[in-house]
Amino acid sequence: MKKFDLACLIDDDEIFAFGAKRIIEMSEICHELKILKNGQEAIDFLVPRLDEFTTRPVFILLDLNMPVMDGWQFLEEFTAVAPEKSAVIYVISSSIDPADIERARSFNRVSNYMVKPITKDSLQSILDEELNR
Amino acid sequence: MDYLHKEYTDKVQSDNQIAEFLQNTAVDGLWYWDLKQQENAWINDQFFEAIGLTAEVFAGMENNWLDLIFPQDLKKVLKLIHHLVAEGEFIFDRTVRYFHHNGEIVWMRCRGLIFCDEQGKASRMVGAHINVTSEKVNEINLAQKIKRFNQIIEGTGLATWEWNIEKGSLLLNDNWKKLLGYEPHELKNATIDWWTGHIHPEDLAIIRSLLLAHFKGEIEKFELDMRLRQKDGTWIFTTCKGKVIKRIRGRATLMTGYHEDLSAIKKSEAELLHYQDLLERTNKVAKIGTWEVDIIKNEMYWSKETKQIHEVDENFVPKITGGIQFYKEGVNRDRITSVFNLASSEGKSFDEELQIITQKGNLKWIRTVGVPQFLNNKLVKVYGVFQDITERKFQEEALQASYNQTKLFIEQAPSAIAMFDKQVNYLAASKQWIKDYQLDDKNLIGQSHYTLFPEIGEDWRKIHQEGLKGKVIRTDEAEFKRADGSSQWITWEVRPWYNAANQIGGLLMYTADVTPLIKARKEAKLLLDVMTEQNERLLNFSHIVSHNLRSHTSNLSMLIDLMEKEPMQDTQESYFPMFKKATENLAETIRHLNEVANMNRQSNEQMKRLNLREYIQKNISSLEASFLEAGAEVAIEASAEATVYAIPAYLDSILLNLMTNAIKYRSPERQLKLAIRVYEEGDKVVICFEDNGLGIDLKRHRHKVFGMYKVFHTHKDARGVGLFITKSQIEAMNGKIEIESEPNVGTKFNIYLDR
Repeated sequence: MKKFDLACLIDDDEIFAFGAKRIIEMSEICHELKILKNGQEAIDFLVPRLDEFTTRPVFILLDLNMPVMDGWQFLEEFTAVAPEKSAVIYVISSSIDPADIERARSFNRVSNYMVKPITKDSLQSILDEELNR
Repeated sequence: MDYLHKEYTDKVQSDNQIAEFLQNTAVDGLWYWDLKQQENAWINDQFFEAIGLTAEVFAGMENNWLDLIFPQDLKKVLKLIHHLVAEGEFIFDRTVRYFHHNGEIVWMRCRGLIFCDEQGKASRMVGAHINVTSEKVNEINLAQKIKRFNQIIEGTGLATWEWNIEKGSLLLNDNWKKLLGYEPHELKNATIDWWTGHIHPEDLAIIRSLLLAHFKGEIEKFELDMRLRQKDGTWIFTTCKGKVIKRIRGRATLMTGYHEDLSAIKKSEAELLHYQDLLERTNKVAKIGTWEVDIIKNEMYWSKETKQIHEVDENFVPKITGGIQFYKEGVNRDRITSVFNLASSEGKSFDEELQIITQKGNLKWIRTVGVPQFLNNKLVKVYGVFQDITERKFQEEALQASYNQTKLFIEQAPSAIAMFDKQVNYLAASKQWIKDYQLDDKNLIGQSHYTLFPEIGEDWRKIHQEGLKGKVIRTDEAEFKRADGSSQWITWEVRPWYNAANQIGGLLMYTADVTPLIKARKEAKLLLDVMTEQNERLLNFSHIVSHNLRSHTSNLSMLIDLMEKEPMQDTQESYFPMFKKATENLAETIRHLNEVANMNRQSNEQMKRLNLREYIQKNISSLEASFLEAGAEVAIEASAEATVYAIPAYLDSILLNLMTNAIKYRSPERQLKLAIRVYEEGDKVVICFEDNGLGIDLKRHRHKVFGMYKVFHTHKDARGVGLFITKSQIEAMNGKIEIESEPNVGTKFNIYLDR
């Protein structure tokens, strides 16, 4: 069963994007996966489609360190315009700096903070958690 | 005796002269005496009456009239008659004593006319009586009085004189002579001219005018203070009092008087006048009481104010000993007792400020002034003024106490503090001040600050004046350049101080040499910079570990996880390039990590003088493949002699990073052109890297160009560590880096390093 129509992976790391795409495909959580290289690309892609997400929320996996527009800037700009139920956002970062984790949690709209690497199992368990809410 | 009466009657009737004589003289009796038979005389009624008899009583007595006369006087009368007749004189005048019937003596002035017979012998005398008893008694009493007075005068030591005005002679008693230092046997023939020569010339005029007035009767007594010259030539003050005691036909002929020596009390008198004057004036403005001790009567008098000061009621009657009891026991009471005794024994005035305890038990400060008053060289009174000075005294005490406290505080203060009066003269200075300004401890107080430091300029004097107007002027860290070029930092303050009346009393100055403090602070700042730097590096290190290093290792573990789940043939093709890339990234990150960890400001010993051109060419060679692949054109402008003072490893890293950047961020639209120029600027050498690549939008990113992991391009290799490390390394070698850039035109870096 596909949980989401659309999932977005926002990360400039090509290796991670390659691996993450494989894992997401295997998990069968969405019909369509879109990979975006930074916050600006994500804003440009998502904001015009916000209407579509009112019934079917978009699943966003967001990296923090990116060129042009980093994850923090994206969070501020996107949550300012997107209705609450339109997106499920997971921060996904290699940083184990507690300051980063704390900061991510300060955004209400961020569901959880995942430390890289991600595996099929870890992705599956957070999705279950999300659906059981 | 009838024949005599008949004969008398006949004579009176026949001779008018006799009648006239009798009428003029007969007051207290008439008599007609037979000088041949002397027991026979005719006496009229008035005569009998004057001696308390009548003719009838006398007739009954067995005595003749001669028995009525004092026997000694009768002899003298007969002798006188005989003498008169022999001389051819016939007028008799003599005072004769008679016995009154009651036994008392009656003095009669007898005036008679003697008649002689044909042989020239005295035969009859007619006479009349005037009773002069009362005059005579007075005369006797007066003589006795004079005698007694003379005795008293000699006894009391009064210096008397008697001046025979007509003759000009002087009669001076022993005391008078003693007063001027002469012996009793001297000045026997003193004259008024001699006296005049011994009176102070300045006093003569007034003496003459007063004498004249007295002689004319215009003033009752002559009284004047005058100066007399003693035998040894010194002058003494005397009071002279005198009176004319004898006049002849209105003209003064005899004058007597006495002197008082004023020298001992003249001074007191002058003071007395002064204080009386003072009293009058000050009583108007201040509440001042008076007091008086009458030594003779042993009484004390206090004025209303004096009583109020003592806080006793108006009816209080003070006693001499009681007055002293008000003085505070101990020093105060002892002092008043001592000065009062001196006043009464030696005539010394006093003026004391002492403490009393009032009737109500309050402590007061009073001022008491005492002046002894003498009369005839004898102390009769001590009197003076009494003033409540509590308020002033307490203020003085408070002021003195606060001044002493301040002075002590200042002297002991561990800082450089000095206290000045309004003319900027020293009142007190701390030991530190004396030390700092190399002053002389002993002669400091009272000296002018400006005299001690003539180099003090108008600017400081102006500051001092501002302070005296009530301003507080302070500078915390004023830098003063020393002669040797070093700096001294001084914190100083100028402020006024206020006296008890809350008026500005002068200045307080405070200075502190804060040079060690400033130096310590600079050192601390330097240490803090180092610490911050090190801390930042540590943070970067931690960031690299926690973020970059992890991102590569997590990628590797993710790839491995996926490969386990997928068939082998797939993994060979798609996963291998990913593995290769991930391990390369990991290697680069570890290199960065190493550079960050090795960055050390304390690596000066590794600094070497290096040939710059050699280093540039060496690094270009190592990147030759990359330059070739990018098709770059590299131009170097550097003299063969150009040197730089640097750490070899850092210089390699800097050059490599900047060259790599130029390749990585070249424009895909044009051939890369990189120009490397070396030139000198002051004591620095400048290495300039200029490319025609993508450029950076400095308007948006200037503040984070050299920040850790800031990536400005969407370029695949951008990892954002390079410029941060480059900058850190340059700064570690006491250099700096500048950037100029324009998007899509190119970037220019200028690196400044020591030559």
